[in-house]
Amino acid sequence: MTIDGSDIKILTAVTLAGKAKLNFIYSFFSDDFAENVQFCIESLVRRKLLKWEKDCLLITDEGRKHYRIDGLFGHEKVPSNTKHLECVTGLTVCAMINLLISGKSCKSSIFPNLNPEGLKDIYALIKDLALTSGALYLSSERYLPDVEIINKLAGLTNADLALTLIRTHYSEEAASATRAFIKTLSSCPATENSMLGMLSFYLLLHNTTANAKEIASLLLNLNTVEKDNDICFVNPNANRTPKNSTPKLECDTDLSIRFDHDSALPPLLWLYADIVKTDVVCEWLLSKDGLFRALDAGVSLDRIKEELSYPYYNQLLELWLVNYNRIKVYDNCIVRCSDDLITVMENHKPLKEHILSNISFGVYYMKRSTAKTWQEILCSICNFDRLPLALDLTSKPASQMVINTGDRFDISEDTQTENTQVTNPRTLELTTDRLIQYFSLGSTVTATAMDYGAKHSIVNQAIKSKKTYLLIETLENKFVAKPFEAIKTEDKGMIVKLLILPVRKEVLLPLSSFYRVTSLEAFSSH
Amino acid sequence: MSDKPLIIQSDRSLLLDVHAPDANTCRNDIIPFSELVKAPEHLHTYMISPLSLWNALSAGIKGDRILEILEKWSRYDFPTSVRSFIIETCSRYGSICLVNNDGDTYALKCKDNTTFRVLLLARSLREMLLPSVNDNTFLIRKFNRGNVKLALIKLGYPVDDRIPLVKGDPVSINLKAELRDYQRLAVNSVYGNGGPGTGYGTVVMPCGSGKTVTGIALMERLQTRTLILCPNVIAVRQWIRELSEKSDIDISLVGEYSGEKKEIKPVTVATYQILTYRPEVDGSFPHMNLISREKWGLVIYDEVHLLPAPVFRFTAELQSIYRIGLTATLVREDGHEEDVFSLVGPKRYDVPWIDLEQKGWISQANCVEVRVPMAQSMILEYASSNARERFSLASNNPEKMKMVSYLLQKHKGEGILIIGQYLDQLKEISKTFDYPLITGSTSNTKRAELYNAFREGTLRVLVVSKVANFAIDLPDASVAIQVSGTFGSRQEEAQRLGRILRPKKTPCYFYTLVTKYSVEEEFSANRRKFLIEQGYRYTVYDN
Repeated sequence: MTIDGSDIKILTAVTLAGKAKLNFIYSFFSDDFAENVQFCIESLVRRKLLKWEKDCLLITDEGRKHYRIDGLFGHEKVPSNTKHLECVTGLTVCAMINLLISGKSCKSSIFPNLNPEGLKDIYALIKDLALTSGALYLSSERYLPDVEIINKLAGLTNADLALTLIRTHYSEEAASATRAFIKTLSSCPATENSMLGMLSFYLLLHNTTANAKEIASLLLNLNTVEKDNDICFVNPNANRTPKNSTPKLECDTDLSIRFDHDSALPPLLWLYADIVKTDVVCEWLLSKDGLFRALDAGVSLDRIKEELSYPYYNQLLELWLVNYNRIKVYDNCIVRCSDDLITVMENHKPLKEHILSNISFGVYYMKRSTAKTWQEILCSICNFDRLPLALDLTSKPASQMVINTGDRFDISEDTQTENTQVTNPRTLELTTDRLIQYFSLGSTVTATAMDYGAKHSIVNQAIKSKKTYLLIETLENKFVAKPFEAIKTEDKGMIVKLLILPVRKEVLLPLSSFYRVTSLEAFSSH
Repeated sequence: MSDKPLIIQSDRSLLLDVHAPDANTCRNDIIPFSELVKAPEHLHTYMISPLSLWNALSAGIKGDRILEILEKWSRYDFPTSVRSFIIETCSRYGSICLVNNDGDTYALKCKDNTTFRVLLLARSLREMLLPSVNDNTFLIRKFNRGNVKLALIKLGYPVDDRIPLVKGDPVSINLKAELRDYQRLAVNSVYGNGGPGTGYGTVVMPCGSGKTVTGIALMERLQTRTLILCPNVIAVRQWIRELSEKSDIDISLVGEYSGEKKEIKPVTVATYQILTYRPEVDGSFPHMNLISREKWGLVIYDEVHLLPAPVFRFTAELQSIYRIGLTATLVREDGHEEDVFSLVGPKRYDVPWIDLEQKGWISQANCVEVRVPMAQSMILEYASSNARERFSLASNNPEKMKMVSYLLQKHKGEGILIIGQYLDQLKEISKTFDYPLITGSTSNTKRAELYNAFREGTLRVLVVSKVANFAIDLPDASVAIQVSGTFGSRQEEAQRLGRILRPKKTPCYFYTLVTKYSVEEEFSANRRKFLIEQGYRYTVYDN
């Protein structure tokens, strides 16, 4: 895989942005705006989003691939007649961001036929959107229902204008870091405005779960080969040319790290420290989150210590490291096999290398990143077309279960169909798919049996919620769907009518079991 | 890179490289028109704000002089945006001036009709401005002087107050002790040239650095009737004791006005509480009214960061009197720092704590955070608690008792304060180790008795609640063990350290016990900020 300069810029920007959250984009539609201003802003954002969406979908269709969308968010302020459209649009934005931040899959899976020029167009779109949304957000901070602002926004075409707007209307207290970022980026001669745009946009999108490790690893590798000082942050004040000099870091007891503007950015600083100010002297702040970010990226503590060369920080960093090492979550797969397959699992070399550890007799902990490879091997050995998936529902009673915040709730169906492709736009049946519903509802509940009519009502109520989306996973693909309604069947079952969002295909999916999360009860059906 | 000590940032912050030659001279030059924000080890940050500039102008420093100073010390090019800001801000000063008028009014003169119209339309001034027969002029009642100035500053129109302060009736007082350099500088910076725009201000100096002496020095300079306001009775008595020991004032001229005594004398020391006391919720403040009728020549606000809101009104009416605010930590949780600056007076002097430590004026402090493991018995309870409960649980971690025991043993024979937030915890410590406890419910007599015993050395360990956070002078205390605190309060942390900073031959130790892997770690990090920004280093003992 090759990564070009544009990728580096985008990835750097995204990573620097840190904990961006996707939900924020819809904060534009807040109650604080006067109604007419809100309408103007919505229209403006929508136009940008629509344009973007069009391009994205076009790419998707060309690639004949679907992509995973994690971000789900509400859109209460969207007018009812455009709800559906906005929903698609919003998710498309999420998808785009996720694709861009994941870098690798973005190119290899989603944009297989996209040439560099096409990618640049996407960046340009992001920039355009970012500048607009950034400015909107910033103006919203001051709650200014000002016609002048709207006019400015409408004519917003370049970074300079956005910056002017930001500088005029940005609340000092709101987020100095954002401004500092913007300032830094705007001053970077090699970075171009797209990065500025991307960043300001991304800072608004606080809900996206960026795979920091992956991005950072990419960047770290890239930084070693990048010679043109592309990711260099310099003083916006001066027209001085950045040098490749070794930066002289001035660390202080208040955890601030400053370096002279004539110096290039220290190679790892952006990872473990947060920027506070870019000025004649740039100021960064060492933080625990920053250290965790760097450790996630695979940077060793020694390397950070070496770069800082400030003994006072060592003890603190080590304490943070101890904290960091207290717990780890591994996102891998567990495979259980019968006795006859154990020998194969443990001795067949192509399989063995994917086993991380042997948890117990016949149970293996395996790499998710190479799942496709080892699943194919196992399929071939077992003479399966696909591997059976354990949904781990056996431990849960059908009619009663305890659900905790953050649990995943499954709607599963067992109708057997061999083909996972769309055979009929209205009757897609997904045989091995799981329908996983994310609920943001909170408390621990106990499910009780209910009568059919009540179940139907609750299902309908749940799926019609604006916040309810379904993620449909197949072995290869994942789809996001918006459910519309549950339809009763003669055998007292239910069929859920869904819209698969990326392809805008409407499907009907039989519902076999459904665990509802409310403050009161859950139930099962079928 | 040149050796000049000052880096001027385009956001109007000034970074002073304390290791550069002439850094001290530069600091003295910039203090009159900038405010110290933080002072860690290497680069101290000062900030130029409209208020700091206007205060400098009111004290007679011209805008050109400010530019000249910055130009002189700047290591890099002087950002044009900062230059423009200073010129523009200074140009607004003088567009409104306050002068004497007949009767019980002052005249507020606007430079031009535009400014006059702006004031006319300002809602915040509507009830305070009276019509005048002269063009572009308003009249204001004398008692509204402070409020009008405050409102105008908030509007962005600083007032050139040309009314000289009034001297009160004379009182003879001379300081017996010799003033230290920084104390003299502080007094001079408040007194100024004696002309309009000077004679009032706030002085920020570390605990134990002699704020009381600085106050007495100003009394000596003015030789006038003085009202001293303090946060509590213990502090009142400390002031009286200091006046008696460090000045030649006839002690019969000094009175205590508190809940226990009601003496109004040429030098009266009162508590904020008594001033703000009123029998009915919506009633008037009888003591404040009584005291404000006296003709004071100077008001000293001790621990000015604690100035209660009702006293602001009282202070607003005292704009023709010399006044000084004294504090170690001008950090108000209610965000009223600006009101303090506007009514009591601008920050005229601020010195980094560590500077005084290096010069030996305050004790050398070792700040240590000790991380204590969470008691096994509370791990599950902690995990299932909400944020507030977690803080309380972590603060009350029984494992801290072992560490307290260890530290008491380690510092046996030294003056030790065990300071905490939770009464049950403090009672437990008091009971376990058999040391007396002072809380809010301890009578003033009992408190005084215990503090005296501590000062005299007959008592070496005291367990105290937050009542001892401020204004308690315990010169022999050299070890403080903070077992719990008020969430992330920076001010409390600094004030508690202040209890052990009185200069002494041996270094002092400030221990903070924090439950490991708990929310207390985060709060503790926040609490440390102020002191770290003052140049202190913390050592963390884990395990």
